[in-house]
Amino acid sequence: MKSFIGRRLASGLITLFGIVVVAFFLARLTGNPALLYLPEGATEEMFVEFNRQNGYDRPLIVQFISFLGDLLRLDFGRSASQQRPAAQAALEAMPPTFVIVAMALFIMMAISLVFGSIAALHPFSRTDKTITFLSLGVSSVPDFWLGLVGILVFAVHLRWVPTSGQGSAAAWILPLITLSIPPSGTMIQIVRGAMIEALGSGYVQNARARGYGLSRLAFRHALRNAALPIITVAGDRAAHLINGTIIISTIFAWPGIGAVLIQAVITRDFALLQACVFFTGLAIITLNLLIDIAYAFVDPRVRVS
Amino acid sequence: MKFSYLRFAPLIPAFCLGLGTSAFAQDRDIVVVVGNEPTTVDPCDLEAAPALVLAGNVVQTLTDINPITSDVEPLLAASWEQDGDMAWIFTLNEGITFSDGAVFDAEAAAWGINRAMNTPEITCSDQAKVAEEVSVSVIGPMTIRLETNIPAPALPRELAYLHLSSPLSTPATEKTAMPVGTGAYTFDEWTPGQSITLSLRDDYWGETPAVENVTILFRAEPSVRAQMVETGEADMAYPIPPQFATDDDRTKQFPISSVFFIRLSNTIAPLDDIRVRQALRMAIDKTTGVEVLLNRTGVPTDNAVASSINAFIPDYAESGFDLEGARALLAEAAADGVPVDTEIEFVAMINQFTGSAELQQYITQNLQDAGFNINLQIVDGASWAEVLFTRSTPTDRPVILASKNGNTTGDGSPTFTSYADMNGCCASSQDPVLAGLIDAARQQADPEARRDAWHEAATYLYTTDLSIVPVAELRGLMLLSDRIDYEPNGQTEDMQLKLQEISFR
Repeated sequence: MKSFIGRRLASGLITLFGIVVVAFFLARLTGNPALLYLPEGATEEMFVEFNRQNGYDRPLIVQFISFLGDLLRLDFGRSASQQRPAAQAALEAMPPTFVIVAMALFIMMAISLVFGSIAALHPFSRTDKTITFLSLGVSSVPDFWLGLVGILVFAVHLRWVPTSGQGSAAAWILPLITLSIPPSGTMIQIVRGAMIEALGSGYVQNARARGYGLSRLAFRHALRNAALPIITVAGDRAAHLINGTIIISTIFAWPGIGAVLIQAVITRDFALLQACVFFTGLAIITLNLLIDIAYAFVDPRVRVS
Repeated sequence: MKFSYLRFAPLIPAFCLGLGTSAFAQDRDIVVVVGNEPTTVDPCDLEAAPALVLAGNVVQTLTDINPITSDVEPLLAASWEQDGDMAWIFTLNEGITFSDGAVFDAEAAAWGINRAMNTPEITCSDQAKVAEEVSVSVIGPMTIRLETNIPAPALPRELAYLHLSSPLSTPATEKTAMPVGTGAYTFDEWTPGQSITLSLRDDYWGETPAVENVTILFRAEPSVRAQMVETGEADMAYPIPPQFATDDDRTKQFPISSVFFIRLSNTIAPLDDIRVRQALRMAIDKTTGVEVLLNRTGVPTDNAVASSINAFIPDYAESGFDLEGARALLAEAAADGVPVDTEIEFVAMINQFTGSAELQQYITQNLQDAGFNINLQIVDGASWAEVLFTRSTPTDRPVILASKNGNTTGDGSPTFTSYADMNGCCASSQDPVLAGLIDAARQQADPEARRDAWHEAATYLYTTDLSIVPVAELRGLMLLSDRIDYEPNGQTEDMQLKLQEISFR
């Protein structure tokens, strides 16, 4: 088990290294940030001084080697837009992201497990068809559109919730709906498929013949055996949810890594961009590692292989 | 009896409202929602950042510009006089303190000016608003002398953009995220991505404003900004798109001192031929495009500056849209061997202003109809800036650039120096005659002579040099709640939003 986790960890670290290297060079392909930070009438001397202060006057390879050295100390440099250490700015943005992603993931899983299982218990019935129709519908809804319509209906017309921000508990409702509902549609279908397969297996048929109740069979036995594909897709959806915070940052001004990442891109704040990419990548790789470990616990065959 | 969860449905709004009441504005506090967040809040960077809520409210300047008359008026300075061609003496107002308790005197003013103008370590953006190199000396407790390296008749006007910060709390050679100034409000907190909060000082030296605490929220989505006012979450939202403007007095349309024009690289074929440039100007149906696509946010113009600027020529009018005339000119140029079918890049910035993408596409269609080979490229702000700055503009291919220039100074100098003078940062013109006319206008101290000189330079630019084709003078739309009243002006969008001018209904 230890070597399994070790291999996954090593693989994750190599991926993370690749991500930060790509982010470093891609960011610099966008051009010189001085064009954004200096005014229209800036003199040549102002450009030279700006580049010197930020190290952009050095050859790219020198900048990269210096970056790698700083990376070992988790020092991403000073954020040009926020005027403070970039790592601090990125790390401060992570908790709001984790909290809302965890809540959205919980809602998404609760919805999909309940409705996916109900659909699987009565395959091709009217209930199953209704759930399938609705789940395909919500999975097709663009999250951006869902957020804007949510504001129009629930904030402007009904006045139940505020349009945006994080000032109250009600302000969480629309961002959570926007984040969790579209992926729930896909997850319902995954749960349904996995459960139908599990419920059709020999041990379930045998148990039913011995008089076990369907609900007990479904939620206590079949669901556990259907867990592997569900965990796989849920992990993938969780990574998408982290990226999805960019949408809720834009529409609802939700604080978090998405908002900071957008700011870093728009302002060509290389230090902040690299810090955001690193910590987001680290979060997603950690999540994938946890999923791999969960596989091993759920299915001993993974451990053995 | 069958149990139904539907019986709890009426509780949902009550639950949500119970959770959400704290989000709504109350008392004499207001919430302002804007689209762009400042990239920096350092007092010496307010020119480049959309930090309008800080300028004039937290940090102030020696002089101020009247938004209606464009006259230069006293603010921290009580008076000023020219001391020869290359120096000015400013006498400061007494009894002014910074919000950290430091006294505003000649030493503090000199420190602030030096920090903004003569501190290479921090590369201040406000520096660019002052055309000259400035050295400052203290010649009395409340008197300073500013000496320039070239004659500077417009220095008092330029100093309306140089914000002075407290020497007690502001680092001299580092940027600060906690500005401290002489304004009516103290800067309390900046939460990046979210908000800035200001609170009213109880020891402000000027007239006490009606508004006490101000929360400035950043919302990138225009529809959300407008809807926040409708739901009572904000008292002021700007800019808002025309479709969210109301028909009552809560929607304020105001000039924003910005003009949308197209800059032509007129030294590269085929744009180096005057007939091609004339054809390009004639091919754009700006009346239809601007009136239809910009709706309430723009009016067609033939001037490169807004009507509040002294370089604006009220009775100047181009020949207008003439598609057949444009085609004929292109054919004539082609017959003389001008490569009129060369691809011309039309570089535009994404979200430059409300309706900009539609207008840029419309102009592209106009030019293609006339026979131009136009390739529209809508890019991000940084990529657009690379083309804007002449030093990085590619010189091997013809480019036309969709530009939006804001000028709140009342004077033509910033626009013409940057965009039309061959030595300017963003000019494609290489015409020494035009550069001479602009330089002559800059040297004029007499207001009427200066206006006439700018008119002469502008006329030459529009008719002979033709490196700029004006399209639209832009307007802003602001939505107010029914709690407050405010009249935005030409400075509101690009210079300062004076919170002390807000009143409660």
